[in-house]
Amino acid sequence: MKTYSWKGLIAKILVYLILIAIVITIFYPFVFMLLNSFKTKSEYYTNIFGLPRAIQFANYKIAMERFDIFRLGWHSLFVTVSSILINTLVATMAAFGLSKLPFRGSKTIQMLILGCMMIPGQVLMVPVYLIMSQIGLINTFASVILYYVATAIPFAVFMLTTQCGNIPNGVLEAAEIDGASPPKIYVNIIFPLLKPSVVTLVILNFLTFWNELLYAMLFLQTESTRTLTVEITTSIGRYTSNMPLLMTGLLINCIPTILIFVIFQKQIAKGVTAGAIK
Amino acid sequence: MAEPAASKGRYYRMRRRWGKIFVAPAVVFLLAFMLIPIVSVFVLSFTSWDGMSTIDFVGASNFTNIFADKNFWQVIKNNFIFMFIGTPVWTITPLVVAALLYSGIKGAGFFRSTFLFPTVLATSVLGIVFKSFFGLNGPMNALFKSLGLDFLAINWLGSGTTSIPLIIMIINWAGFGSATLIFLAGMSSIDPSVYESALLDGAGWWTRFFKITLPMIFNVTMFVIILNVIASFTSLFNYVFTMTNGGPGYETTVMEYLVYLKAFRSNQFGYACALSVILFVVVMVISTVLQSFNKRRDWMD
Amino acid sequence: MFKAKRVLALAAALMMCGMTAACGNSGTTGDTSGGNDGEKTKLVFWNGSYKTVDDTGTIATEDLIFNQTIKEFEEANNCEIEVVDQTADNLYTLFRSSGVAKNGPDIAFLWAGSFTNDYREFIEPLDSYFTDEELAEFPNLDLCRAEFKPEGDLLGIPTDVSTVNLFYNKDAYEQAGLPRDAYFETIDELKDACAKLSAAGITPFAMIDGNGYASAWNVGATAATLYGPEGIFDLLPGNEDLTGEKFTKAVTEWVEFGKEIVENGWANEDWLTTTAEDVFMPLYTGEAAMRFGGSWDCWNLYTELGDSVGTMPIPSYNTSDEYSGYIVGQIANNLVVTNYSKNKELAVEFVKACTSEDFYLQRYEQEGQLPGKVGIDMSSVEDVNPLLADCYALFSENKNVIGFDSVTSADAGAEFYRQVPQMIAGNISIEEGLKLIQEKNVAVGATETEE
Repeated sequence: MKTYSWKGLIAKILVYLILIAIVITIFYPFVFMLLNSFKTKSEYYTNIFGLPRAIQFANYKIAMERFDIFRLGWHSLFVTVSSILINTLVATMAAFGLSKLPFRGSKTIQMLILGCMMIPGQVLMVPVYLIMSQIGLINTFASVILYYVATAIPFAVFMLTTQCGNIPNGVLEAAEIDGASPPKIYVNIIFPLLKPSVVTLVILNFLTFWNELLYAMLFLQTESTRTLTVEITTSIGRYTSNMPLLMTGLLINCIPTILIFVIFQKQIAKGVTAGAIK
Repeated sequence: MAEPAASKGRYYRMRRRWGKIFVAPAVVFLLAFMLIPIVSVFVLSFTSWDGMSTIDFVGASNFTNIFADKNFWQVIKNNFIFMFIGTPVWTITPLVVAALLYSGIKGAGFFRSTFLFPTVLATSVLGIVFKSFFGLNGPMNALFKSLGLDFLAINWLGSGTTSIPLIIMIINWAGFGSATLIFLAGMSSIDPSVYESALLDGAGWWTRFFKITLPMIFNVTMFVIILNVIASFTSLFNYVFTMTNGGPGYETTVMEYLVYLKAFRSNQFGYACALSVILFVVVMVISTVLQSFNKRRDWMD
Repeated sequence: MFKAKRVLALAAALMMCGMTAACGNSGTTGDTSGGNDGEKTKLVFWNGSYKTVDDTGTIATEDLIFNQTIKEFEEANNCEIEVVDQTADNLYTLFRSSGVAKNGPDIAFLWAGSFTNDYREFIEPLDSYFTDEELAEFPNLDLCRAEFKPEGDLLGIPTDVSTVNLFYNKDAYEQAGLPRDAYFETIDELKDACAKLSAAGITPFAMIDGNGYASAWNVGATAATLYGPEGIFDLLPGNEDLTGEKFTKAVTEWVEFGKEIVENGWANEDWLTTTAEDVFMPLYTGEAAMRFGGSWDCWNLYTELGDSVGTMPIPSYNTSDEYSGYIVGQIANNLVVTNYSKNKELAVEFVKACTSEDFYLQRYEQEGQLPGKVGIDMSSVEDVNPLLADCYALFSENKNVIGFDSVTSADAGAEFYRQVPQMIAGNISIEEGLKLIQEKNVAVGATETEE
């Protein structure tokens, strides 16, 4: 495909220009937020666009003090990681069961699970809250963890079932003949083969759970359980006319997700696609 | 379902048993935190519960009230506007970008990953940031004016006709990265040999794309379309909540937001549940219809 | 190797799950305080407004009056008070859901009016805990009573009062040839001022009405002069029809003024639809002259403009109204004690601690909120924000009418906020809009209650 015609060159340049323009639009809001986090409130209004006149970290200081970042960040981290671990376990098991260990009604269950993907979150708020209260789990991490796992299962099962279906039956049958029971097969064969999808699921889930607002707000109300995302988004709400402070807080809250993104770029890319191709 | 004689063997019985065990945890989770709540929502839609005091059954009066409310029809219309305008935008943009990346330029990997960057920010955060971006005297308008594009420096969030497209573009900005990847994955699963014969016949890039690539990624495209359609009913809340409050009037209110307003601002929980039921039914119907397109194509292959 | 790692990972996950359930349940919950098991009694306080951290950096955290009061109370009563800061949006959602589950706070800081009344299911009546003398120190408490009736249960104790005012930039006024200490009695005088400001190249108003509040304040003012302090309760759900002559008049007066503002370009172009606070910046630079608001804005305004800002009550739309001269002023917030609290007496004691005269004075000084009691001598406070002093003086004239949106149902209020800007924009007629609002002015829950 090496066409060294003028048309080809112009086309190529055009393509690059478009792509670079897109990259700029992707990063600009972020850069905007970053620059403004260094400005004071009045500077923000008079000099919205430009570089900050002086880089002052006052907003960061206020944010750090105000938001008890490390303690609340730990809450967020704990919730996120626990949810991810449990979700991975449950979803991989279900995917294995649905694709390779069919039983009467497994197709129906599969459809049900997929159907759950279409339920919007606000709809379930009060019933789920009541259920959690009855079990006595409000203001414990278990409540959000259990709920996050439940909401993540449909997509995870969807993605993993497809992947699992691609595993050739021959390998499994051979293992069976060697006397391996399904649990052994799961641990030794299925899970390792699902690893790439699992990794990407883990990363996508991290982004989702870390940023989740509605239910974290509802279930974790006290200082001893609140997550960082909730704290920043809702506390700063009180000072909404202070945009630079707001942006600083939001930026700080993004740092873990940005780190994950940077480290796992490749995996994220791989993961999003895995469910799509049948 | 009648099972062939072979499946009654020892291995198959054991598999069936284990199958149930493996699937059980997922089912338990979903039952407890999704299915039972959904059932309660259905039941509550026939009550006049205010979320606090006694639960009084009122039959279908919630539903009749909803259908008689002028605002409801505007809201559902808004959802459909998002669906009909948003879905093409949210499908074609990543398709085009994927095509650009697929054309074999250098650095495709870099672009692929950077386009995913918006996913690190929560949608509510994006809403807050973009709201100040597109204010009447905000940065974007200042930018437009400095570029001489004064006609673009309008009050973006001041009416439904401008805010709905704006929100659609913002969702596009945030989500096209992942959709691009889905398309790319679909494209890369096409056997290159198919292209070779086309090249031999002298087919140019356009012909190759439209006659070969597109048809072969039909299923992937349908998948993306379905995701987008569902999103137009279930993923708009954060943006509406942070950017427009559903306003002005009800011009940007969508079903999800109306459910929230009725449940938590007006203390009309039964009514809100009825709205949720309607939303749920609409989504199920539309996605089932779309799914049927998928199956047919498979069969034709 | 592989296998072992996986198994360990799974085991770790299960352990964590177990740990969370255990950790979560041990004593550090937001539940209402348990009994005394040798540990201190705990009160949970949901805070909607008291400052627990100072973001201007001028007051040390320990010196904030709320924190001080907590410390003193904890020591005096050997208890622990857990403060949970909530924003307005969450507070009501959570208060309701936790009320149903009975695991909410002991004390909560709520908006007075329907926001408290609607939740009376969960609130402990306070009449028996206060003497008549104690209660006389407060302004008229009807707004804090169940269904706003004088014989209704007392649901909350006022934390502050508020007035609705018009604020103006004195420098801008001077530039337009208007007096620095202006006071307009009628709307017509205000309109003249607008014309003068416009002529001097200053935008008269910096406003936001995307959330319907500017409309609500002005209609509050027109309704105040029409209905008066007792008559305003006619607007309770199930009573007067909002599409009737009286309320229509109140709304029409404002809508017509609003239309004039649009026509003459007397406010920022996007005022009917925006909710962004940055529209107020021109007010601080002198490019715009006025804004509607309330005593809660005094603090910010004084910080930005210092002595260049002045205030006056919203001018009368119709001097021939029965209650002309009355302003919108009311109890703004109150503290409530939940009826599922396990330490009601202690909770009420804490409420009393937070509503002492000294507390009010200190809060006035530190946060700029008007006291919830009447007749307090404000001169003892140093550096009184003159704006606030003006507001308190206005309130003390005792010609206060409650804002109508504290009386109508929450749903009707919400519909009002949505529809009135549309009326001004001409997208819906006043009659039609009022019809939609009236449809929603229905009582919440069971009104034919046993109370």
